[in-house]
Amino acid sequence: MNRAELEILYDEHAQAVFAYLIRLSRDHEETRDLLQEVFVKLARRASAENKISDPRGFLLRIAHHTWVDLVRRRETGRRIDAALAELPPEQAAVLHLKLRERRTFEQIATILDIPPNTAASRYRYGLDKIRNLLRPLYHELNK
Amino acid sequence: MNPDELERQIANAPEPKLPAKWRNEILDRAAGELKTAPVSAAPPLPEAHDTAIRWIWREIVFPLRHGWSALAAVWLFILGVNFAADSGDDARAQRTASRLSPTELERNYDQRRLLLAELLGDKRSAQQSDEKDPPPPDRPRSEAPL
Repeated sequence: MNRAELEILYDEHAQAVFAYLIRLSRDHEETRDLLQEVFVKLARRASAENKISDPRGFLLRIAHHTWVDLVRRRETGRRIDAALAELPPEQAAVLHLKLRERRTFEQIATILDIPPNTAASRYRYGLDKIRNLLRPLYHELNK
Repeated sequence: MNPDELERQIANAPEPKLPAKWRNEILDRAAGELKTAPVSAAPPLPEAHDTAIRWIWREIVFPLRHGWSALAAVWLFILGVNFAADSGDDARAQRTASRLSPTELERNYDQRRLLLAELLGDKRSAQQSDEKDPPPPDRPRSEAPL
């Protein structure tokens, strides 16, 4: 597939895919990102697929999967945030510094003014708690 | 409003319009992926419309192309060695044969015939055949009895 063929597919089917996605998302900017993702996926898969017999059906199918992936990612993020909110502040602080700020336990110990071993154990306990809270989600995602 | 009417109204409801300014942005981004499409995909087989051939090419030949090439190389090597050995043996046999005199050749032939008869356990028949076939008289063929 080349750019010209991609343009033809866009001109013929992008409106329908957009209408489908905005119906699900109801957010203009998010729909734009989703539509772009759909055409990027189409371009990536075009070389693998010999011939697409129903281009619009193919695009709508990609659009649907892209939307489901987004919803799933969003739900996962929401649940992780909720689980983090349930941690005691001292464990949440260590997890944040370790995972978001990529700090070593030595650096975390310096920032929080605690021994490095304490930082490591708070991290371990905090992670265990998060893991327990997210276990249902893990099973759900791997169904 | 009956169900058919409701369905028709939903189907005919105005769709939100796709913003025209998105077109180039999205196509540029997607076309970028076209250029970086995986080059490891199997190249198309020219003029191969037969699905079986295409399947064999795609699933068996192409993924293991290095293995097949190595196997072909080994076969060619073995074939070459085999030909070289055969031609060597032939030349040697021809050289040996050309050095032997007719009498030696005949004796050699008889020895081999006897050996073959012994190996096959048919010593007697070998002897009989010797008796049946006396050595030809030592005279020109033109003087032989009619």
